[in-house]
Amino acid sequence: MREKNIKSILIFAGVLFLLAFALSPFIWMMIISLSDRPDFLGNAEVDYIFTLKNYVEILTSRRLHFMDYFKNSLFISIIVSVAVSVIASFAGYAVSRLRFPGRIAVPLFVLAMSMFPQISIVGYLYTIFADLGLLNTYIALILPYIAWTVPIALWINMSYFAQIPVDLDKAALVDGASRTKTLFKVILPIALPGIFSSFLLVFIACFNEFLFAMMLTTDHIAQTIPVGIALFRGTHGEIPWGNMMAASAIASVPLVILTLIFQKYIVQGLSAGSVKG
Amino acid sequence: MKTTSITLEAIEKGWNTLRGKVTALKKIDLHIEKGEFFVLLGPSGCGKSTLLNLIAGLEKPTSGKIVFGERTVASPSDKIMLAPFERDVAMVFQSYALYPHMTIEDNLIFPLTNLKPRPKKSEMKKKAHDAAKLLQIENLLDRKPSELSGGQRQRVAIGRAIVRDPEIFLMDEPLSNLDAKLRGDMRAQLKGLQQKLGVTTVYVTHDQLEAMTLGDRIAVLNDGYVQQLGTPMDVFNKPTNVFVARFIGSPTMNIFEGDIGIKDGVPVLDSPSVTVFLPPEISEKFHKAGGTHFTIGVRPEHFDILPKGEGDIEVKVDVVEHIGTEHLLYVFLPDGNQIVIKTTEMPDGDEFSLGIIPEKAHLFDEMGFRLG
Repeated sequence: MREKNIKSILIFAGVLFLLAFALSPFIWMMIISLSDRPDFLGNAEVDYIFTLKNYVEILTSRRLHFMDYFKNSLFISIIVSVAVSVIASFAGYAVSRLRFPGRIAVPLFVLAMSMFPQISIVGYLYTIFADLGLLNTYIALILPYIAWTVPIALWINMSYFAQIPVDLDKAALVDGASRTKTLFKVILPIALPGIFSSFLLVFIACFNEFLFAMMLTTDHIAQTIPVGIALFRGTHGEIPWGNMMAASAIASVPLVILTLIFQKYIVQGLSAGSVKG
Repeated sequence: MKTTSITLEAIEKGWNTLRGKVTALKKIDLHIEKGEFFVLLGPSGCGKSTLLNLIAGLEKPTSGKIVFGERTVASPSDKIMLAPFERDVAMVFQSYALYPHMTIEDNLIFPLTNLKPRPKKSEMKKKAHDAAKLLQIENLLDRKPSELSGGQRQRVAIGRAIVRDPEIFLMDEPLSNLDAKLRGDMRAQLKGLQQKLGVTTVYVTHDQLEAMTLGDRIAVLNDGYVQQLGTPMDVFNKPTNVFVARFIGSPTMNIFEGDIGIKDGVPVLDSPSVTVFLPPEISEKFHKAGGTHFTIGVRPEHFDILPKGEGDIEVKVDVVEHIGTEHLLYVFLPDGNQIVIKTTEMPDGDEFSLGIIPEKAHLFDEMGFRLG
């Protein structure tokens, strides 16, 4: 009995420690964001005055462009997620059900391409978009994001579609449904959880992406939140920790809500196909 | 309900795989009568499911012709290939293949939504309810497949096939996933249903008991060929080759294969496990056929049990299984191999001999084909 208790206490303590470890940057961020004299690396207890002015400032100040960044991030992430979901779900259907040359080679190739680190290609992307005159536009981020997230979405969809029995297609065909009708009325509704999981993962990845956004955009017209916040400048050229932390807090709200509500799908997406059945 | 006949002419089906050409069906010629309950029986991998898929239109034959009544539905040489829906067939799958995201009612209605012109909603609902009533699943109509038991799902799958009012039912091992007792009940129900509806049914199974009880006629397949075509009694009493003889009947028929000779002045068959003394009628048939290598098959229930030394084969008991009114005796042959005897009266003692009843023995030549 004693052993069991000690074990529970140790596990509890371990979990508490891990929680603290994971949440402390977030908590610190909240503390700084609500402070009148924010000093990121200093002692927060010294002259701590609680205030909401940082939040007010980023939401209203045109100079800080926070709402522009927010709009850009949202727009780009949603476009990319929708496009990638469509591409990956059709590809998943094709690979799991149709016989075509390259059925195995193409996904493997896509996987291989995804292993290139972002930093190794960002220079070339810059040159290409600069030559096309497309730097600092939505396209400059949408296209690379699609290419960057398709591999993971493709593999999630492939393994999810593979788990849908082929007998269902046959049954629908014998029941008289055309291939299109089978896809939209039978297969896609069943595959929806898998598609949704990949949608969420892609959305989160795009929302948080920093390197491409940093290199391929230059100002508030097309910059996204991660870059926007990192480049915040105070009115006197100092680093406005309060504003940055407030902006980070607001930016994380959509992601936190999405993840909390749909955590089941996210976990499902990450583990799809790992175990049979 | 409508019905039609099916004719398969010189059907061949093969694929090119990474390992070379694979031929599943080598040359199938079959004619199935209107309203017949026709069974395709064979072990796994014999090509029976492939044949069903060809009839359904899910796959294209490599060569040959498939005709329903007067309509050619598939003929590669004439470039004819009708889709399943155009053939007016309905199929019941081994896995049932119910649409998991739809209610039972929607599952039953789905085939009707694909008819052109699309019937009125009320009409479709009525047909679905009629089918549900026939199969006693009316109370399940607003549930989803995941909430049903195996037997219930199976009835929904059959309902979905009936609701279409097709000319042909195709069933791919529909009872395999049910437990033994349910299987027996469903077998009887299926047979009754088919007789009532009178629709031509092609039924695929590897279970010879199902085939024997359900089929008006059985086609035994192996290795891509039809080994025998006949009524259940035909294939049981007069198997055309050793394969069919061993496949039909449970427990399996006992087989003795070897060369004929003489021992102690008496004709015998020298099989590796035992020397079988041949009754005169049998040895005569062998001599008439010519050749030296033959096979004798005797069903477990067709031996005479005689005291030691008086019969044709000497045996010693290993294990006895009592199955109600009968006993299954697993007995050793002189060299240690075993055969099975079925009898209603237990013999005295452990060691006795078996007599071969000439009329009940099945004789096969050296190629495994039935003699005479």
